[in-house]
Amino acid sequence: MLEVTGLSDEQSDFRGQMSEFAEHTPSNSSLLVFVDGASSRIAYFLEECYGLFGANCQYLGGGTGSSTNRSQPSIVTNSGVKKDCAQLISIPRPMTTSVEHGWNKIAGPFLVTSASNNIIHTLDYRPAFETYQEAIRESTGEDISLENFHHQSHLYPFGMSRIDSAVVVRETFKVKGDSLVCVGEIPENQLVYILYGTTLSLINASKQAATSLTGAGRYDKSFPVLIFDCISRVFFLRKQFQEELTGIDATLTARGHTIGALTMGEIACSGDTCLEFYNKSIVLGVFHEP
Amino acid sequence: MSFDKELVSIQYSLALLVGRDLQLEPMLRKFMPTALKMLGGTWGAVWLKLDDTVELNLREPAYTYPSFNTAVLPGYEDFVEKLHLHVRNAEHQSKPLAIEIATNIFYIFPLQKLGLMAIRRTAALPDKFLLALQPVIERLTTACIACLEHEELLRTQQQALNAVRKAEEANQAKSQFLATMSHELRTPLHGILGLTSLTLDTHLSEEQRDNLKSVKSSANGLLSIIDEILDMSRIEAKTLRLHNDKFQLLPMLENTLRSFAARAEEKGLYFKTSIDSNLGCVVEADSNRLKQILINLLDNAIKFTESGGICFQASVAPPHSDRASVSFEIQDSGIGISPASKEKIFALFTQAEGSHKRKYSGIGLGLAISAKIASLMHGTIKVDSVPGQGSTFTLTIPLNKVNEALPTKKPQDQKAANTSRKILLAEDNPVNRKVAQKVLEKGGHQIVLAVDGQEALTAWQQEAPDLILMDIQMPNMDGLEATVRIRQEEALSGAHVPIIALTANAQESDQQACFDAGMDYFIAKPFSPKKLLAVINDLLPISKKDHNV
Repeated sequence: MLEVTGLSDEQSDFRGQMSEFAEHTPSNSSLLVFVDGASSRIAYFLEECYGLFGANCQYLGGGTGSSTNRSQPSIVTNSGVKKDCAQLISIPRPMTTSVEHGWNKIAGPFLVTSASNNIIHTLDYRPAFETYQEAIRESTGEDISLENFHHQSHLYPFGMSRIDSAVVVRETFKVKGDSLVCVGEIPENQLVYILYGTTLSLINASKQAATSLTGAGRYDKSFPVLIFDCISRVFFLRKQFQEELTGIDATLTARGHTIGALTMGEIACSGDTCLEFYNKSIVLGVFHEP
Repeated sequence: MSFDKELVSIQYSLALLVGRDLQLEPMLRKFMPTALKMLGGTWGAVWLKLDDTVELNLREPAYTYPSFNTAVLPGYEDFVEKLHLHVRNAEHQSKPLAIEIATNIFYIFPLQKLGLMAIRRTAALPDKFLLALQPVIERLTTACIACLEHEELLRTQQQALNAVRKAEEANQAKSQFLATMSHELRTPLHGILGLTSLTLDTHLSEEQRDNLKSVKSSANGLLSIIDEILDMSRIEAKTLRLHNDKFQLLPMLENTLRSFAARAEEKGLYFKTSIDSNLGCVVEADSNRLKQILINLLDNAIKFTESGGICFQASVAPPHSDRASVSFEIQDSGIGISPASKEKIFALFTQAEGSHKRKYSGIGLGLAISAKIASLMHGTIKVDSVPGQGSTFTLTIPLNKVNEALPTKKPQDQKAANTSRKILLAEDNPVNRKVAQKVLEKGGHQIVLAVDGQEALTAWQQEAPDLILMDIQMPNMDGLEATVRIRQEEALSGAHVPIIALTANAQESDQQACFDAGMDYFIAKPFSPKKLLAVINDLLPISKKDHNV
């Protein structure tokens, strides 16, 4: 187990903090990674993490925190409950993971022309919030204002463009001046889309995540399935959130053998992509024999 | 969204990720992880050929993400072997190569002739996509070239800085050598000059007197050379400093010219002087350095003139301004200087006649030093010359006139001058000790001898001398430490014995070190007996008064 500190600090030497731990982590291990979801450099930390441990490890985890008080300490460590840090737990057993979200593109792409860590300042060289408002109005007719932002913005997250039409979701949770603050970084020059999801698309996505896991060929029923599901999906699905969980259970053949948590950002990687920090997604993982 | 639009979007985004740093590793660090995320890759590497003459070393990538050491890729050896087979072709391929190893596909993109980039995926990429990445790869190639050139530039800069540092170290070593050499030469010279002067004051035959005068003259010549070498070393080390004082220009000129008039007469040359009456004023400048330039120019004029003579002219313009430009013109009817030599005479170690068959003595530093000093004084030295007819050197210097009278020097207290004082002489060199002892005896003083700093300290405690002459470099305890200890003990009683540094360490830094240690006066060896006695007399009455207070 390793605690990595200074997650929002530009001067933090993450590799230096993790190198000795990496040396003692055998190949084909699984890393459970928990980060303070309010930290501003989570994606960079995960890049350094993957840069050091590489593709021979599998990763699963999520962001901790409170949706009402983002600044409160939330990472449970051996030295107390802390903020702005990460906790790595190495388990010498491989794991299969799957990731899904169920969000679809409704507007874009927009070029992130100015950003710092998890704050988007400009999109297509225009103030980010103004561009965001306009795009949603044009696509859906809905007006997003400073007043209703907290209740409405979670319906329209950003999606960072990936090959094969895939997107990595970024939730925006606050307006700061003309800028938009997200859960996790959005790098400059990144192409982003505005996404929209429905109850059905989200629930189907979670079923798809379970299907991918069981279809991976190495699914071992004797191990529990670990689930990290974004808290924002609870707010979005409301009463139907239960359907998401039962849908997963129904797809997994070992009913009732699931444990997990609601998270503020999700982490997963089983060797077929780089390690990423997801938002508004569901990640599943299950250990298997080497 | 259509495939084409998505393709252009990814292409555009990737292109903007390239070249965001001028250093190779950070530039690739800013590109590769995000590029892999966009392209669904799990590993990426760049190999670069740092030299056109060697083959690409596929076992040592210039950059990998994730790190190469920990992410031991399954089948990497197999991959390298296959890559070797493809590498030559790859340089000429427009389309990237794909190498399949187990469940992975390695896409190899040639970076022109500079190297290769590889990304690893678990699924194939459509050809259209691979071709669309070409502009990004070209951009990456350019960025890598820029980074390598930048690194080369930094390396060159570092080498230049190292060279400068080494040159400075060498220069420092040279300065140290010169300082040591100066000390080592001055010490025996002091003995030669001192004992020669003392012997010249005794009864001698005419032949003995002539011989000794030649010895003295030769020793003085050697001393001038040492002084010139030291000046040159100061100029090169940029430590030559001017020490301005207020003085009357006219008496200084008259004193300087007097000895040259005598030399000219001895050589059968005429020596004419014309000094502007407006120069009878007090000015502020470094009188010693100004005198040094004039002596050098006059010395050269006499040296290089066999018949005819020398005209010295001093003028001021504008005559009544507080800040006037003073010109000193030294015209001779000597051998003259050829146009080619005129350009070189102000360079170090140069004489107009540079061959081994030189007729005229000198090491060729005088004019270079004079020109440098003139420049430090914001002045110039110009030369007009016609070979065979003579030369005219003109020194022009701005001088500040001071509208105040200099304090008149009090006449020497005859009683004090003639009073016998107890003087402690700390000197380790037996010959120099003998010279100083004889000079002091001649001045009627009582002498206490010490051969090192420790003995000097004890003698000071036991004998309570009126004044101390302190050598600097001495065994056991040097003169500086002895002085510091004396001053520390004096601090308790409030007493103050004058201490004169008498040393062959003639550098300005040595002088400063003496004053820092608490000495009152500094006399460089070789010294003139007259000067030493005059300084002693100057210091002693003051010190007596202090004692009474």
